[in-house]
Amino acid sequence: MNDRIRKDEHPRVSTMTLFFIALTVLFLWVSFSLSRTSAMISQAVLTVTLVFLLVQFVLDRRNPRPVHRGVRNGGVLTAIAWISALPAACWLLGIPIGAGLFCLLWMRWRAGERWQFSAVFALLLAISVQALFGLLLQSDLYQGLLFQFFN
Amino acid sequence: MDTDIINAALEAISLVLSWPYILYPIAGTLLAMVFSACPGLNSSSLMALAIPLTISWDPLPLMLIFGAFIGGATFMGSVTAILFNIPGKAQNAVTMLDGYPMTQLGQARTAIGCAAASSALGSTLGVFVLIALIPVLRGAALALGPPEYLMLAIWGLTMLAALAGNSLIKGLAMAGFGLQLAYIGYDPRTAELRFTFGFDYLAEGLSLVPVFLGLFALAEVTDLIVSRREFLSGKLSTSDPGGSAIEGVREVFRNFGLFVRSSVIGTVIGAIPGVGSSVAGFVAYGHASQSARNTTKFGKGDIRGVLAPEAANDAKDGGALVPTLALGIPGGTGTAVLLGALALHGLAPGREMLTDNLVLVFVLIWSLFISNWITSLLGLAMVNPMARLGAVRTTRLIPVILVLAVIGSFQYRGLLADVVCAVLFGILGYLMKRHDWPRIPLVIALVLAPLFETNLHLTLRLVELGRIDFWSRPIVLILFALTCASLFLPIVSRYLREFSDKYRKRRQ
Repeated sequence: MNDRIRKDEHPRVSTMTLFFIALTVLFLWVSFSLSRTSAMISQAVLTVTLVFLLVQFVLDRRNPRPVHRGVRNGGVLTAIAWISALPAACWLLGIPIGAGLFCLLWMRWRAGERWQFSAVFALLLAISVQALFGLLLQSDLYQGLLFQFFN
Repeated sequence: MDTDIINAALEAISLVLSWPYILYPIAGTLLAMVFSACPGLNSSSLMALAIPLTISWDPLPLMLIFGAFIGGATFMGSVTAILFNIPGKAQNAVTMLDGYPMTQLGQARTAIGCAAASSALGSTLGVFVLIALIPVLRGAALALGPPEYLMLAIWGLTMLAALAGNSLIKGLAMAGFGLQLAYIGYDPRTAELRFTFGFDYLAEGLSLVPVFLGLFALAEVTDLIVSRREFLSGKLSTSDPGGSAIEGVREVFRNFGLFVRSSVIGTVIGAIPGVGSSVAGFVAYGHASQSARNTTKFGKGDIRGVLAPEAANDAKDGGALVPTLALGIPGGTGTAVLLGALALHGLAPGREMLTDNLVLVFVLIWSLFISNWITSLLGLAMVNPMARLGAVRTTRLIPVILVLAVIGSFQYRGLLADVVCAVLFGILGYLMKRHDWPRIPLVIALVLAPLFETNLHLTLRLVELGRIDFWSRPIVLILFALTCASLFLPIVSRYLREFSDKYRKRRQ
């Protein structure tokens, strides 16, 4: 709750416009290292895209408007951290255990549920994942780096 | 109508109703109902989640489940719009205008009953229009060559870019960016690696599954986490909805003319790529308010304000399948994901779809039809439990969706890099949503890119060889005119509106 709420921010240019311009320029630069046949369509598409993005850049400067509508930047980073934690847990511990552990931590700390409820919820989720993917769909669930290391 | 079309339709209905295939539309409808009743989630997220699960399925159950997803999603979003003033999807927003005031007046059951009946009957009309159009579409699809498909892809891109979101420039830029993302990986003609930046993972190009999962499922989940909304409805609601569902159904027959006109509006608008999703409902609402003798109750709880958009919204599902199946141009986000799923199963829309795979087309249509009726009947029966749906905590829903999305992106090819790709696109999708950058043109460009690239090369080669004269083909000229119209009409209409506003102010 200590995050600063940026309600009244009126940036002159949207960061997304700059982000897309940078990406398009990068792709355009890379396209010059390709053969003419491979680069032809890409260069045409990228040039047109860049023109649109530059027009949007000019429009952003002409019509500054609030972009961050009361959203806490810390909240976004926290959300990204939580979402990234799940693949990381699955990579280390495998999908069923990683998903269960993630669920336990989420339910306890993010959702504020009791330990008992969180544990039962996480266990049910891990069992459902194993049952659905492992047994019903007969697919090999990733077992995790630690499991591979110890075997 | 050709006998093979009638035979295909009959074979498809017998397949859909046979055991165990009947379970697919039922299960798909129930899943779509749950997803579309959750504000912040939508059927596109569900369809993206389902792609990796269905990758090993035969085309028949795939068509059944996706038909049910498309059909089951529309009506339930209206229920949350009527009960909680929160539309499940953008297209349900118009139902709030009169639906929620009816709830406040103690007429929620009447509004939901009317919405259910007009949805079911509207979708029936849309489906039968689609079936009636199949012979015409098949003839049209057979007459198209590479130049026509190229122009179709360009028209589809400009149309969708122009109509997705508030800004034409942003939409066009995202369509271009989506096309560029599709060029990552091997060039199909020269086998040269393009834009891989040294990553082996990118050699085969971006996979649609993690991109879809990221841009839709993970982006929406990020939005739910950031918004810190505790309950799906934003508040706990267990009160009695009030009103009578049967009375709502009767209202459809009392206003049958309006219902038919709204359904026709929905079907026609649905058949235009990219326009269908939310425009159909608003146009039908506008027609209802303009054609009514007494307009004083509109916006304050008029049943016609629920009936018209609901009939149009569901009728447009059948219409939206017309360009998707016949031309390979998605009618909206849901059909774009459907096209992705079809491509992963090696099913190409167009002439092949309408000739060799006609039974599958009818399976999709019947599944959509059954799903619409199941949704409406269940919706009617479950008004009271649904009133308590808003009490579901988002914090309990988020880990389940996250786990499904992560597993879905991993299981598709067994690559952890796909999960990383999904997370990156999830972040991009969330930022695009937050900064008002449209995601639909990007996704649709990714889907349309192969159609565009292949036909561009074929057309260039044919022109080089002197086999065709590009500008002397009538369909190419018509499509070129449509492309110009879709690009310039929004600009011209905006200037005309501004000019007329200024003129009116001066006169005052």
